[in-house]
Amino acid sequence: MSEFNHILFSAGGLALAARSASIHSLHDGLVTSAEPGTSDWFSGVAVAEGRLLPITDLGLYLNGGTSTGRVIEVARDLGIAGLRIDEVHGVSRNRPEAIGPETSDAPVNEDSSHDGQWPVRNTAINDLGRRYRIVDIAHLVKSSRFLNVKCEPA
Amino acid sequence: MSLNTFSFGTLKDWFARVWPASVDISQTDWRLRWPLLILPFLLIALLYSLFKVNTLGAQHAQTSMQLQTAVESGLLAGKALPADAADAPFSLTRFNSGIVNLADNSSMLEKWLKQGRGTQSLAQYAQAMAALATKQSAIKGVLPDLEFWNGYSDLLSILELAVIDGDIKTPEARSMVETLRSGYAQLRTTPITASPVASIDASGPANAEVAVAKPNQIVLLQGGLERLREQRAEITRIQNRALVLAALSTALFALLLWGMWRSFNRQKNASAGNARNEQSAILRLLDEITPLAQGDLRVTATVSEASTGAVADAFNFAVYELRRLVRAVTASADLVKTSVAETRESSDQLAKASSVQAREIHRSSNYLNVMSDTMAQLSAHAVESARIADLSVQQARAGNDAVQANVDGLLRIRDQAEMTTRLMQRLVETSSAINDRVKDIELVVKRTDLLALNATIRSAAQVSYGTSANQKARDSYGNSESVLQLSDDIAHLADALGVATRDIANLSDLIQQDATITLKSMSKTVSELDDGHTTARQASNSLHEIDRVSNELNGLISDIASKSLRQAGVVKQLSANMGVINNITRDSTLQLQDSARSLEDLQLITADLRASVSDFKLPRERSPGNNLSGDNLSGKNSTDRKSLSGKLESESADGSSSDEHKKSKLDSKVARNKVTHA
Repeated sequence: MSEFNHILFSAGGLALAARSASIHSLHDGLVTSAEPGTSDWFSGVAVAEGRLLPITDLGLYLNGGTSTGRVIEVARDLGIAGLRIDEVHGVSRNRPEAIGPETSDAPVNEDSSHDGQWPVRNTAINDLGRRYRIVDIAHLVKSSRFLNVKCEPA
Repeated sequence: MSLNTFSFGTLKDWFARVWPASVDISQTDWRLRWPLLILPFLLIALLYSLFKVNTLGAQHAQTSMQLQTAVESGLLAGKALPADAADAPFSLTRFNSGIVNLADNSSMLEKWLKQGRGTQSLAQYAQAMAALATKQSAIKGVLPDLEFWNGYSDLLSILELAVIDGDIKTPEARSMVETLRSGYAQLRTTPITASPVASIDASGPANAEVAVAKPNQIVLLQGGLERLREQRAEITRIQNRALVLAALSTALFALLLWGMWRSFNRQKNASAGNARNEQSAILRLLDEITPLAQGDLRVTATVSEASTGAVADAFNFAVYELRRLVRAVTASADLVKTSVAETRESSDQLAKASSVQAREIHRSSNYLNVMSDTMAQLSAHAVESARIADLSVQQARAGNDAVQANVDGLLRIRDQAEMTTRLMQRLVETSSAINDRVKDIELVVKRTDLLALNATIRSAAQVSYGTSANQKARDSYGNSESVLQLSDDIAHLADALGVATRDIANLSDLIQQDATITLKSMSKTVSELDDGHTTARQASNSLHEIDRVSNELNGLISDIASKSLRQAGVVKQLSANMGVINNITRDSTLQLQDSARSLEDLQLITADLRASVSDFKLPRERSPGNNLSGDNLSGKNSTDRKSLSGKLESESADGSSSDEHKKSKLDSKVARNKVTHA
């Protein structure tokens, strides 16, 4: 078993991949309670296996579309957080490959609002002819923008 | 003759003896009647004149006596005044003074009325009154006559009416009118009995009255003589008028007597000529009725005022009746002759028509035989048609049974289709249940997939932690190899289950789609089966109707066949009857020929009747188109039925009921001849 074990999924139309070690489990059918005064990408809180779990719409957070599928619970040693995605495509043990700026997808690129805390790396997993950009969940859950769910005026 | 025995009847008898009994005043000339009307008025005027003369004579005598008395009194007054002259209550002088006062007051009233408002028209009456009074006052010694009194009183009455009506309003004028009325009344009612000698001047001395007594007496005498002369002249005038009236009355009476005498003579002469007139009238009547003995009905006796007038009138009536009778006999003979001729002609025509009728009847009998054969053929055809109709009924029944079997088959197919539809519906429901189970499997697959992913994630985490020093964490995830194997198996299982589930779902969808299509097809089939069933039922009904109609047609054709058979028998019987009629027609022709010979005999009898009245001579009729207008009836053959009818109508206008009877008989004969012609 190698350390290049990634979960392939899609969120907001973005094909993403995350290390299996940064994920605790996948949940399906969680009921989310919206919280007023929070950002649009913060879906609210839900109860998973008896534990309160804040849910973030990963597609909206990465400037993509709205995600409506399962929820990825972040490894508990990294923090308590849930990421709503669209669909899990599988597990890949392929080695990540670096990609150049000219080949990066525009929606997945960093913008000025993240202040250098963009979680998507310039590496990707190629599986069955499709490229999944790797999301650094440990970096994501520790970024100040992710932790600040307060709604900021435009 | 005493007064006791005198009576009106006696006077009448005497007058009847004196007056000619044959004189009738109503028969006199009208020019002599007017003296009779004027004579009573002349006699009345004459009597009035005599009465007037008598009255005036009495007055004249009385005036003469008065004048004589006055003359005698005047002669005595030359010696001494009468005793009552000095005591006279009112003298003539004072009377004249009253008249003068009336004149003055009237003049004053005239002035007031002229000055008053709206009384100018009344002033003329006051003026007239003043003029009358002034005129009367100017005549000294003469008393006012009745004309003065009446004239003055009338004018004064007009003014009094004006006072009453309010036209005269001033109190002075009203008082003056009253003064005038009182003065007038006093003068009118005062007796003038004073001696003329004493009435000259009442205020003067007695000597002065004596001095003027003689002239006044002379004046009175002159007045009396004047009055006598006037009365004498009036008497003379009335006497002259009475003489004229007496002369006129005498002349008229003489004229009346002359007229009566003349009328009496005329009537006497007329009674003398009556005898001669009667004799001449009898001779003239004999001369006039003599041609009647030779049968000349044109004679007419002259009806006069003589005693033979009534005889002539009766004779004329008898001749008229005889004339009418001869005309009626002649007309009837002509009519019978014409009718006989026409009847004979009609009989000939009828005989010919009977021959034609017999021939036609024979031909009709032949036609009836042909018709009978045709009816027999028609009957045979009807029987054949009935047989064919029966066959048609049987075929219609067979078709109906076949359609009924078809309907039953369709019903069975429909039942099977409905059963198949129910099965397919249950299959669809089963497929739906499979789909539900597939959904459950999909859920299981989904959860298994999630479980596998989580196992994979945990195994990966264990691998990741295996490289680290966190043993606790590695223990919490277990053996990584086994977990990984498990996750792989679960993943494979999930994949296989997912594939199977997808296959089942696809198959189920396919079954459901096929079942749906089959269901729709079966529904359509059932609908079509319903339509076919309906159509078959309609066909069955139509066949039932055909069956019924065929039965009716069969009955009708059978009825026609039976009736045709009966009709053929009737036609045969009719043909036989036609032969009998033919024989009867032949016999009728013979009888008609016998009738024609009888009519010839009747025509000869009519000619004899015509000849028997041919000796009578009838006057010429006024109508120019009358065929009986000749002098002699012989040889006058009248064939114009309308003229004969017209003659009878003209005669029936005289009120004879027998003529009406003849006319009705003539009409009936004409109607019979018309029927014969027809």
